Amino acid sequence: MTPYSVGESGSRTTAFTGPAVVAAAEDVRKQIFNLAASQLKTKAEEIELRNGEVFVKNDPTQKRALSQVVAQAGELIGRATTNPNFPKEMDGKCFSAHFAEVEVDTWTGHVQITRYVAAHDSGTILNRLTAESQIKGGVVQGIGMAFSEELIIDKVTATPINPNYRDAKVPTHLEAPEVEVIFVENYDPYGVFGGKVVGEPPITAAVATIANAIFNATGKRFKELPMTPDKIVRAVQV
Amino acid sequence: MKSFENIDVKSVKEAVNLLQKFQQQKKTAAVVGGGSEYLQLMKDHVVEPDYLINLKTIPGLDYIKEERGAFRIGALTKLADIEMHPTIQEKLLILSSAAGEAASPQIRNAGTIAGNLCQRPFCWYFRSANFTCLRKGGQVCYTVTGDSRFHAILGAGPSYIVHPSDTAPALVALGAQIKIAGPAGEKTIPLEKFFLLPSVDYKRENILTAGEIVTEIIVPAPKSGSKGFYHKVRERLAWDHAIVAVATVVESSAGVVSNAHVVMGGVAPIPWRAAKAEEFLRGKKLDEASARQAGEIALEGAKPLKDNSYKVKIAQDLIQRGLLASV
Repeated sequence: MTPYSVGESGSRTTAFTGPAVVAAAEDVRKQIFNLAASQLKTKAEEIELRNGEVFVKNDPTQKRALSQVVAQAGELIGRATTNPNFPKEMDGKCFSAHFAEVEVDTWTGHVQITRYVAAHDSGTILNRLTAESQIKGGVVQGIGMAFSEELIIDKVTATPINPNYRDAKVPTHLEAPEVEVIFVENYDPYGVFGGKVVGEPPITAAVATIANAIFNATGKRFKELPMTPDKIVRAVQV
Repeated sequence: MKSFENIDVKSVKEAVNLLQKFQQQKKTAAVVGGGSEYLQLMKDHVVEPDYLINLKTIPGLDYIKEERGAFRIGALTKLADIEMHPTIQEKLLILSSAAGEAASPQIRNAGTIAGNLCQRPFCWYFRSANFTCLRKGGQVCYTVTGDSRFHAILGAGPSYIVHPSDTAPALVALGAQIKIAGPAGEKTIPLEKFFLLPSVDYKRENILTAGEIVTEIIVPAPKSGSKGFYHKVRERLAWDHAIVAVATVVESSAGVVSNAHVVMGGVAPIPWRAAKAEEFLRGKKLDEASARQAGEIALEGAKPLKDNSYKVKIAQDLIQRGLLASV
């Protein structure tokens, strides 16, 4: 059983769900060892499982196919509940360094990202394709936050005036650059198989990186998001 | 959404007759082509018609023809087909690019040229069910005290919408005409005269009256040696309306302008023709100084609201960019 989730946040799908999956799998493994031990007339501690075969550690000639061991077992259900309340010293720290190259059109206020590199310490990467996609997706969300997404409230009537998908202005393919992802891997002893978070870190880094790149290009510091054409044109033409 | 009845019609005449009939019965009815715009208005509760008259079932209104020195574009021609048409790309590049800058690929594959010209405003007060603004029969234009970052700087008042069409500025710059069918028969007028300022009527954006339907756009082939460009500035590169758009069509020889058309989108309630700038450019050698001056003249008389003065400079710069690209 995975810990109760209060919502999709905290970059903790792997950190919370992972340990429960591992513990449940270990529970099933224990059940298999007990079955094999009785079939091979030995103790569960003496059993080893490798490459689909169950055998006695000291005498590997005594073996059975895993399928044979479980053939009569029916359904094996692994059960586990893990504790989400990590002690404070177990708080995983993840690090990232982002690099952006931008072109700023000082006439139109348009900013084009010409190159983007995201380096992340997410511990050991469990699945490179999905982890890279998480980073790319996070960067694109950061781009939306940097350039166009904003909840706009009419100040006279205190009414939101852009509460729809059209005016929310999430980025499109045209705003999404090719993101080069670099993982600086290490082993986190508290993480699942040494892994750490990947979900949110790319968003936080992206916004600041883009603002710094615009500063580098224009000499102007932007301290308010999103950095829309009106703000850029006003700043660079002063 | 309020329920409605859809009627597939087979001819323009049938559509015109139905519009008249429903008007006499005090029922509300509207024509739809691609539907990408009108269905959104219905979902947003801006309009609640009793009947939708589906024009897509009329045969022969979807075409691009080149004949006798002009292009004829049927009202139901999709924006994507105009954008991708090889001859349009070759001879009317400005129209192909303006069509290609509109909305998103999905909308361009459904939306028609007539629908693009007849769009309602995308002002967030007009589109919100929370505001009964002047244009929807209310007492005030909320833009005046509200958030006016995307609103008009020219030709506005008492309503401050901007005309949302991308193809309209390009077509006006090309000197296009629009054909309208109605109870009294057909008429063809310059597209420029199709749009209405809010000072004339703040409840509608064009001259169409009950029973009238756009059937064709006629674009004269540009003179050889003329160049047209469409530049659009927006927050997002797709599915976003213009903050400022500029259509320029310039005839010149050896850098000297014989005729120039400068039309802006996103700055006024109608495609805004910069007639004084056009006059200024006639006979001028086009260089950085004269192009900049044309931009300044075009924005003379601009009256920005509290949030949109940035549009003035962007418009001036875009005009300069468009003109300089032409020589």
